[in-house]
Amino acid sequence: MISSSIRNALRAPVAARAIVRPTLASRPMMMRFQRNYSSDHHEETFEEFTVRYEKEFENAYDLFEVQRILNNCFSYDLVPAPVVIEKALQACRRVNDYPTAVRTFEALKHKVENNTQYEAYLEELKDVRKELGIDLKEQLYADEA
Amino acid sequence: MISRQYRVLKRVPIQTAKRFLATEKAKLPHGTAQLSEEEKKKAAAALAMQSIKDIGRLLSSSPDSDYETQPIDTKPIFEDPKLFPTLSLLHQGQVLKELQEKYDKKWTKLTDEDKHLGYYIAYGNWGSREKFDNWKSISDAPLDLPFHTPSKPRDASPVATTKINKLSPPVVLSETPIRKPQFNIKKMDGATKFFVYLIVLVAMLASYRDQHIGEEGRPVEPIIVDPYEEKRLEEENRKKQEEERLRLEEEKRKQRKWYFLWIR
Repeated sequence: MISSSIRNALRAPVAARAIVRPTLASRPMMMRFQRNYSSDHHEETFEEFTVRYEKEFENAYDLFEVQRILNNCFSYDLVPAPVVIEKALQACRRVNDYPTAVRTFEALKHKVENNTQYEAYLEELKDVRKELGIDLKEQLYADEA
Repeated sequence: MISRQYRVLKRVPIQTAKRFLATEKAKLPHGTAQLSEEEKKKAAAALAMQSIKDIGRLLSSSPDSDYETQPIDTKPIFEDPKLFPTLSLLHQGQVLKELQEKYDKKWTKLTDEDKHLGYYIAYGNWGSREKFDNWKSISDAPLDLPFHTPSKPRDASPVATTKINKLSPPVVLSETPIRKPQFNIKKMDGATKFFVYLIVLVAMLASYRDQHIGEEGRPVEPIIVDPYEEKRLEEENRKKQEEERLRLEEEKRKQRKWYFLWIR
């Protein structure tokens, strides 16, 4: 009885954190101060970065986590590798959030320097995109252009 | 016939009457001016039923309670996602649940409507993203990306050993031009400001009154005197006094002893 109540008390902060699911941009303060895994590290190589984010996306357990990791991995001075994007898309599929998958491609489009690079990424991610059934924003809102 | 119908109509609200006439007119085949006897009876029954319902609705305190609490037809929302923000929280929840059920299945089976609604709910210009007017634009960058646009990656084709750094200066999402007003806690809107100042003023006046006027300023309490009650009390007092006097006299009398006679 007592042990269960102690266990509940210990669990409470985790539960409270899980309930709060803000949008992509609504809790940046928290993101900055709470779990900025990468700051204060030694200077990371692109390979280490890729491995770290692959792992993070694999472990992402809800939409908030996926969006938080997406925000973090796009806030570097290099474009994330296709394998990281693939893991991100799979994470979106795991948490069953289609719009975030579309948004990932949208962010990628604006993160790369030019359209050629974007096309290269699309080519690389063609299979996973087809497998998961993710449309690009260009396709979704083609008639709006 | 017309007079009878008019008599019926007189008893029901005008809205109902108009609705009835419109439906009846629509029901009439072209070129038919008159209703058959059976149709007339049916129409009269329908009208009576409708009028009872209308009266019930008029008497009910919450006429739209059914609509507010019952599930709605979500088809129009899927057709036009812009209707989503106008729904109540309960109905938004209903739409979200339906959408999530679709997202939980294979995405290849999603329709364009499902995709559009989902994207609008997540990134459309409503709620806290109200000012994100370019949400639909294909060429413009979204306004809350975690990097500066146009983006300038340091290296277009990095190798495994290329060093990677956080963007400098970093993009703080609460400080992007579009988000800044939302996170500005110092600024208050006019109405709030007015009420805050009003409360301060009232508090100051109350404090001044407490210190300088005190209870002098309180209203005079009217004292109501009952002459009959006064009279009664007076009489009661007088009786009491009389009783007391008699009692004392009696006591005095009792104090006399038999031998007083002898002493005297």
